Amino acid sequence: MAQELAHRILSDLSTAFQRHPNIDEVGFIPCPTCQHNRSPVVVENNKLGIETWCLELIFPYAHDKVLRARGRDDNGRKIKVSRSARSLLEATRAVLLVQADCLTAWNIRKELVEAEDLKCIQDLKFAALVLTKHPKSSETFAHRRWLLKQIVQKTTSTSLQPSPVSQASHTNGLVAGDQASGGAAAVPPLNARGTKSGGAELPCDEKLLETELAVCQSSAERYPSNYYAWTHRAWVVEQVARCHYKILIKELSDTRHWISRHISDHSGLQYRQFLITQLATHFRSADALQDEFLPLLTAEFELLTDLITAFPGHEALWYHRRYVFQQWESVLSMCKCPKSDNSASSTGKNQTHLQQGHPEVPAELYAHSASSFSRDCKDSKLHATVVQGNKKAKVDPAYTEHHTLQSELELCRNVMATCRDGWQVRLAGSYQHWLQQRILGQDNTSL
Amino acid sequence: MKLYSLSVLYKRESKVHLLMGGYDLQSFGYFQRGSVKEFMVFTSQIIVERCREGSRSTVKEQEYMCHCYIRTDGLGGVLIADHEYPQRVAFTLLNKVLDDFTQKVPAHLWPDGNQNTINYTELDGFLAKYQNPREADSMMKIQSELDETKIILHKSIEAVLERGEKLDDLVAKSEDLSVQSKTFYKTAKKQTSAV
Repeated sequence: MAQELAHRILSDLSTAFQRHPNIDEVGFIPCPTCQHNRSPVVVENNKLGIETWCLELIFPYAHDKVLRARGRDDNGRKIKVSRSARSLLEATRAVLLVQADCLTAWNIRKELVEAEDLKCIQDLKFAALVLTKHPKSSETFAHRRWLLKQIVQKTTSTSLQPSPVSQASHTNGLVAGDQASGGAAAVPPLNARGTKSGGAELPCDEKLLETELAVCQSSAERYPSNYYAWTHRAWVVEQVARCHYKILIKELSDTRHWISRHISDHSGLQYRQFLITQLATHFRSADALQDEFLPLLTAEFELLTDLITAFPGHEALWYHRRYVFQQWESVLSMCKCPKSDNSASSTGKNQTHLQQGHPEVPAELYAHSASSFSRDCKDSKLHATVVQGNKKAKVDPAYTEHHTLQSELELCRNVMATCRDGWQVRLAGSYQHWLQQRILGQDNTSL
Repeated sequence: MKLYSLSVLYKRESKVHLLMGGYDLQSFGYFQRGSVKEFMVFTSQIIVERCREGSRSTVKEQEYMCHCYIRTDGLGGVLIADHEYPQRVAFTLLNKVLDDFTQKVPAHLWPDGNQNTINYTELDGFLAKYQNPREADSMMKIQSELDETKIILHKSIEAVLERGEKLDDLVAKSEDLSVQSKTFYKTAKKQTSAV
């Protein structure tokens, strides 16, 4: 009896999908018992609704079918059954709409794709539907990645070769120290500088990419701090768009608004960090970094200052600021001119100590904090060093002026002096502490 | 940061009724919206019932923040937002809405008014406009006469209930909530306690 009913509901579901090919959302309708003599499957405005009372009927029924297709009965014993592709599609669909993390069901669908009973695009559409009800289902995202790989492999094997950027994309960009040393050397600039493949076409189908990014966006919207959605998005940019310069820039500007409306979303900010790190790898020469990458970081600093002051008390923003500052530091250290080495001259201990101890810290950072050093520490020797360091600076002062250690510390002081939000004051304090630790190391904690 | 509901209520002798409500439930699933709306009304009503005239309070309930301002004349407003939405803007908006409502709807209509008898259509507009708190930027800067220290913060709806009262019972007893919404409440509760 129950089996029969479950079977009927499953075919109702199939009919619904046939009649409404554009169903774009699925949801459950809270309903403890079957109250009316009608189907629990409803379609309204292209939204598919399933009344909750029937879930406990259809799920075991469909799940059993799925297991049997795997040649196992309920107790895990092997059995011999062959099913038609159609009935497998129906059963896995019912299971996944209810329980999106059923890997067995997704795997059966993978086999159906391989046997060409199911098209990749169709299944992407279905998986997108599942995500409207289960926006942080990791198995659904994993299945999407598998499907996308199938599509990308097909297209690359026929036409495109892997771009040089994708090979570089796995090194950790600026953060990796080995690139810092070679940064100013004669590595030819890539796409971004317009020399090699600047106007090159996207390494993938634009529409495919667009749809995928939209799916990530809607999942992130449905569930706050949706780690799965944002890591999937990063994967898409890396593996489908091959970290194409145009896409990175577009994503950076597209997520800007989103971030301004989701100021406590760590995952979203982390995605921006991914974009910025990947962008950095596009600028190989010191000039490119300075002229094109630094302005991006400046913009990020400005965005953060704006959000931090307008909406106090959100930890995610402060942590993102640490990342931007780190990037800033490494860029400046790369832009530093290596040849003007006259450090052996006048100043002695302090300078050599600083340069040995903190090779990653550019002189400019000290330069702009000079006044605070001399005021706070009354260390004239250090001050002298700092001034000398400044002469070595090759970086355009227009950029360094704004976001040096000094201006960062000033932001902290301002916030701590004026903000009435206790949590915000603590966040500013911990950022200040982090800056001091980072720049000065253990030896100069007196600042 | 999001605003979900903005309602104007009237409180007299600890009885509360809804005069007008505006909702933005786009971010909820299509089939959930009905129940979510009923619960927003239900919650707003409970909070106004339990808070004193002349007080400002914010009740945190899961990831939602219910900001409530009841004037001494019994007119009250509740704004349900997420936790990112700035509290100061929320209360400035409530001030503004109640002032506007007083101007457009004569006070003698309040005691017996309801959504059908009262003609006030501004709430949806306010909600839409203030979805972006920057709209209120000038207000954010003014640091208006609102003193944040006077806003009472409750950590849950249970915290505003009277001793011995239970939210589950109130939900079960409520005549304004449909069977579907009550089921919705139960399943939602099961899910949150399971996590």
